[in-house]
Amino acid sequence: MRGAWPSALALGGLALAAVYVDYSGQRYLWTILTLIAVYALAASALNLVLGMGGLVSFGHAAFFGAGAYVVGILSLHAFENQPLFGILAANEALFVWPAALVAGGVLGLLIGLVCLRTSGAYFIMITLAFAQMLFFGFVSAERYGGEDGLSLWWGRNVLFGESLDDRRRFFIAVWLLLSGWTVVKLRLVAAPLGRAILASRMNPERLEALGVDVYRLRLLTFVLSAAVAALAGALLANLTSFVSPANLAWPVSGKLIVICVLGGLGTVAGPIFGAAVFILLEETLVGYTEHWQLFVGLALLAIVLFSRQGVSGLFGFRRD
Amino acid sequence: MADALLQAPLLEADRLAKAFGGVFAVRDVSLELLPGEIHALIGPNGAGKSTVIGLLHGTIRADAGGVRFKGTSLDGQGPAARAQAGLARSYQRTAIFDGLTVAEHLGLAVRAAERRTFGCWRRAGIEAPEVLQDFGLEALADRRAGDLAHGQQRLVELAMVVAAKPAAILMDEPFAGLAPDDRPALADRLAVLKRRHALLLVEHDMDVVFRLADRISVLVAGSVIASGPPELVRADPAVQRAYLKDDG
Repeated sequence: MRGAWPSALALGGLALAAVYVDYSGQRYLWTILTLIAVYALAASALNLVLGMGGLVSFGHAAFFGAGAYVVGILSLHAFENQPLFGILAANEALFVWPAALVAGGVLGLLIGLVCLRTSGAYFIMITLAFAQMLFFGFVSAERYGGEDGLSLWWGRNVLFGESLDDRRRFFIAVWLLLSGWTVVKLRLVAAPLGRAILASRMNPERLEALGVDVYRLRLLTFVLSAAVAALAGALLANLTSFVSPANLAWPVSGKLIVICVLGGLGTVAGPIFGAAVFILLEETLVGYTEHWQLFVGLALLAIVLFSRQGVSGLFGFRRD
Repeated sequence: MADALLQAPLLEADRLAKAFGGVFAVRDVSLELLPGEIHALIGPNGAGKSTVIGLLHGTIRADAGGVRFKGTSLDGQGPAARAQAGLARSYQRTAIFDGLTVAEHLGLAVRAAERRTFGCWRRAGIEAPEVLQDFGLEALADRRAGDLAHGQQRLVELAMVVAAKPAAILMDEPFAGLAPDDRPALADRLAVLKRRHALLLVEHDMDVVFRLADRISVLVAGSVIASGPPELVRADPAVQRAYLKDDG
């Protein structure tokens, strides 16, 4: 099974779960469900580089966290009515979210220009180094809360004049963004660019000899991935109404990689399944033991050993 | 031959030199490839044939000398830019994309040549179906290239190279590792190809070389010691001494 069906199933599953949550009236379930959708978006962005492109980025927390900080910083400036770069900051989602997208893309371009000159273990280490630099940068940025982070005093962003503090409305917004990105990614995978990205993982020298500038190809992929990861970060900041340097730290990069591997490397639907499995494991196990990560590790081990395509592989879905 | 001499060369190497760690791998190598010819480059192991291919292809940077293609200099250009200009290569060890289908290989090659690789919305279509047909690969079009037999993979790589319609192809030992049964088919294929593409053929199999080549250059210890039509090269005493005899 391949193509659009696994993705439709995953997104449909999320929508059905939302209907259940709405009827059950258990409000904290909205948070878990939205968290799944947010991490699915971030991991799906990473999977473009990691699963399809074969480049192990261990620094995607940089883009995820940067997106969160765009929301936090704009919210702070709007709250204090202080202009930023000469522009009056706003709390409008239609302004803030594209701003996060662009900031992530620009950051991805700067980091990608350097990192993509390397490969293998060097690539892993350099992406990690950039993310940690950004982490320590924000830890020492007292203006934006330093180590303590930033609270969104005005709450979530406003979309079409309506506050997103309404849990159901916010989940629908996140779900629509995840669905939109999934459609874009399905198109991209089947398009010439997607085929070339796959080919660049399998045999980059051969692709170069055919006349494709592999560095440019990878840079484009990296920038796109970084931009979408930053959008996911902006959504996380909204969900928790809080931004902290922890969003930029390496465990977040690791978590995104684990979600991709759990769900199925290089599949479009995989990160959605992976995020669901990871977040649900985390939320249920935390209730029993503080050593919940041990069990996530065991689950990861089992899935890697028994299915090369993660949870998607267990369902018989194939790599796209 | 007289006609060929009147033609302007497609690819010219002018006194190429390359040293690795102070030792010359290639020294003062000049070669010409004319449109529609097969020019074979032969020589014992370690003579520098692969280095010459790398220098022409742009994966190795020359210490001295230059390469011209269709009358313009290629110096400083990498493999991707040279491929865009119409200079393709095939590899000694079959170089394909294991996880992609046969049809997708041709698609990649054609789109790379036509600068359509970066399309990201419309579905990647079938390209160069006539090449697929020429190579007898239609029945395998939707199979993963990694699942095919070695001889078939060779054909896939060659079809991919040809689909991009390059003016010249650098072929690094296309017969290496091929089963004896698969050799005649590939030789026939190359004979047909040379009408549309000039071929620079690096090959160990002397039967193939003397059957196919219009001209032969002999590389020994990094230098060209003889160059000309097969019968003259075969008769050249220096070549016999240096190469043909110990090859048996």
